[in-house]
Amino acid sequence: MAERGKGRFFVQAVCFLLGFFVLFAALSRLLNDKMGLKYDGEFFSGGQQYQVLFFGSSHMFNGVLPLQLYRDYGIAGYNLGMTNEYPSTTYWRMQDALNRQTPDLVVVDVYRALAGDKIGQTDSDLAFLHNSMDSMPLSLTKVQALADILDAKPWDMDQLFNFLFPLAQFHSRYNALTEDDYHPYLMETKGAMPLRVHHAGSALPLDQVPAGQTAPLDSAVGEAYLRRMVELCAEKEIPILLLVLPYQAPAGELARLNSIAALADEYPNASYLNLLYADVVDPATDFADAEGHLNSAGAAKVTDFLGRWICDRYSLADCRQDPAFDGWQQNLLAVQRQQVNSLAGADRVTALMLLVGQDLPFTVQLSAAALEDPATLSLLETLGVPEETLAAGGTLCWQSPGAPAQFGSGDSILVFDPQTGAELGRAEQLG
Amino acid sequence: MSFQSLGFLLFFPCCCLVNYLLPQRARNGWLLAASYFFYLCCGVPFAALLAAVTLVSYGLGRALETARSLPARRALLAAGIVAAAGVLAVFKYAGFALQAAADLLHLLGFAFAPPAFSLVLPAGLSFFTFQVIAYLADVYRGNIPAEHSLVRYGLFVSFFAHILSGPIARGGQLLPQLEKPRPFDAAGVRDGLLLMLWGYFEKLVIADRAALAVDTVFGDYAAFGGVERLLAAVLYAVQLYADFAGYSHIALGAAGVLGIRLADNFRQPYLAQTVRDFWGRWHISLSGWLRDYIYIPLGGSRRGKLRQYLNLLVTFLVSGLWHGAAWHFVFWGGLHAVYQIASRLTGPVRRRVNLGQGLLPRWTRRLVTFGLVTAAWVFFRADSVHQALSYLGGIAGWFDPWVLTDGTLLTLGLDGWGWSVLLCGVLVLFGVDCLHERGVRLRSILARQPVVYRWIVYYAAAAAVLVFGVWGPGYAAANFVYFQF
Repeated sequence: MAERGKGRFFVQAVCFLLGFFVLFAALSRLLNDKMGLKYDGEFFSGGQQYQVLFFGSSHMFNGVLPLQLYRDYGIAGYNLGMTNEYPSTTYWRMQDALNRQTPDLVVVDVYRALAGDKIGQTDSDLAFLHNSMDSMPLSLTKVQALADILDAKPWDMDQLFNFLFPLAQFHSRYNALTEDDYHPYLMETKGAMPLRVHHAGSALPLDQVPAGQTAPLDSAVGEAYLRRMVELCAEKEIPILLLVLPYQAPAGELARLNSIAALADEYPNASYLNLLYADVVDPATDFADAEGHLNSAGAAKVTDFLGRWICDRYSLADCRQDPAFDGWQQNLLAVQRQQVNSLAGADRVTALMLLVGQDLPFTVQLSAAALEDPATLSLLETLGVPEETLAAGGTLCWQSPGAPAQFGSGDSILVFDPQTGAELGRAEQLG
Repeated sequence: MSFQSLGFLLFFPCCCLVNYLLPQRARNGWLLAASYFFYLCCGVPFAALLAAVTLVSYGLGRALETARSLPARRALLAAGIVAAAGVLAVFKYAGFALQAAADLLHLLGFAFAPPAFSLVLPAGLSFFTFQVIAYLADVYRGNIPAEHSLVRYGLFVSFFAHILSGPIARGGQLLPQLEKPRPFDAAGVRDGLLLMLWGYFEKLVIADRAALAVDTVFGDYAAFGGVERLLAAVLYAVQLYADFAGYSHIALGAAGVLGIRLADNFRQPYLAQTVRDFWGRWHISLSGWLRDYIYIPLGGSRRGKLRQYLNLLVTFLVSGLWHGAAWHFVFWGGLHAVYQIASRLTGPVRRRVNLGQGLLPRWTRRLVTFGLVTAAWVFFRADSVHQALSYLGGIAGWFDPWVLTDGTLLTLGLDGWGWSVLLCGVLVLFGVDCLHERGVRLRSILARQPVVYRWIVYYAAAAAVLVFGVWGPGYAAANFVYFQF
């Protein structure tokens, strides 16, 4: 009798616990921050094989646009970069991603290899770690990753728990919920976060530090994890590109980053590419902030350069012909729409910056005074306005190929649908 | 390892599972090992000290049982009390005593710089030393036989549910339970788990949330006016109750899951109608200990009024000192002694102007008692007597009720939601207390409901703790306040 009671209790307890797990999962779903989920949720939802996976810090997150790679080069990539991501975190995210995917190429942004620590210990660093790790499904790799990144001791599991079950961090968000929390959506950018703001950066100190000048990386932890990434890819027979993306680099960091070329030379599966010296971006127009995170124009230029570089060296199948990627065209249109929607209210330089890399027909009308601004001129050139048109003087009225002869009132930009010719968006009062 | 740590949430189910899988005769040994593992998480030297206190008191207990002559028995009891109190004195009071001596000598004109004396206080020391003193006194008095089994005695002293913050167990209550088989009892397990859940609600939702506002005001009280100070004082009363009662309920629940019943530690203390009544409801295991092993041995009320008042004063000063080696704790104890003496002195007058037992007089008495207790808590919470006096002085001197509506409340460490959650939590806490006061046992009522309704309540309570509790890195969740004692 007692045994029967015990058994019944046991069954009830198991059922109750199952219900509790469901409750815990539902609360986590509602209350957890959605940053990681929004950008990486699509990757972890599975069902798609990627040819190129991109890893790294915010430089990668903001600087490489997989949808543009697909549109222009037929490359199917996913950007797994995340803000303030340390190499230790990047290594484990790579480990997890390569457990799920077998890409033809891995590209890793090496900027954070300059960091001396496994991870920073400020609240902000730990919050960013949530962005990187929370979307990763629970697995043994995730436990190993967090135990390593956090240096968790077996007798102090609370911090590990906080990252394995982020509800511990976010349960008090009940007073900050928005509609996004009830109806979470996944970004359609394939992991990238294009920045739609402009910051006039200053020239890079490339004259002071030529590409051949090196200095010790001076970061044992960063270098160790960089080597582990290369070795992980070698183990899986995947080539890896160690990439330096453009940013507002101080001279001291340039020489240290240059030393990574030697590190790459040590491994047959590793290549090195430093875009700081490739004259890809214009600091006056292509940065989003003082640190030199690329804005969407800078990202478009970098992506274009990288697409060509990859196609020149690796024979990747053109995914545009593959029906498995039909949805990407829809994603592309949706992201383009978001970009065009940002035009409203934008200033002149930002509006022009937003058009770079969009491959959309547009018309532009700018007064002679507006054309005196070097950043405006630079962007107009990037957008294909012929030099002689710009040099002609007076008000500029120009339509890109495929755009109808339709102009706004005063200084303005109008953007059109390439198929129907309908107006998609406009920016006015750009004087 | 605290009760709100992940470690405990993993340790406890494993401990229970193995306990019930083992044969009955092996369970005490298992629980002893588990308790030492639990205590080892506080530090290896502390566990060694616990083992030493256990072995010495066990040996003295056995010796007390066999000693025949009264002088020998007295000597053994004295040795036990001196040993246990000595450990407490060295770890907890040596620095305070040296500083007090230096201050006294300074007043007398002698210069004396006390040597630096700083020992880490072993967790739960005040609790388990009082427990072994009570055990030895009970054996000496012949109230209980000496425990022969070292395993059972070791478990009695070190049981993980009460080792850190009580309740202070009595040999007569706990040891017989450890002798008897404790078969699996589904209803008992359920009841224990529910009690634990209630304890977590009290601790995480109410106490730790109230602490956010209390710490803000007490931390910089000079910047706040009378209303904020009064509010923080009231909230501290709530925090302390929810914190300690929460801990006690988790302890009682955890023991209950294992088939062991620990003594209740709280009985709706803020519904007391006199301060004397309050001490019959607050930290009952300590109040009972002080009554049985200090107040009554001193003569209690049997040796005249003056001696009774002196006994009360000594008892409450010891209580104050037990809570902390600092003058503000001593003052707090002394203030409660003054309350008790004043209550006895004014008894005839109050009886003459009897207000009756109606609702209004009853709640008036409760309110007055709560006010007196809350005022005393200010001395308990402050860093010094001077600070407490300054804090209380400011309540009367700078009273601006508009701060309740002008947004000042939102600068006290809690936003609008935080205040709402706290208010709801406090209403639930006192609602439950009022029902208990009327003899309504909510857990018993709940246990009789169909499983669907019960589970809805369980899940709702669990969700409330998960969402509204102050836990995890979002907040620096305060440790249980009573750990420091």
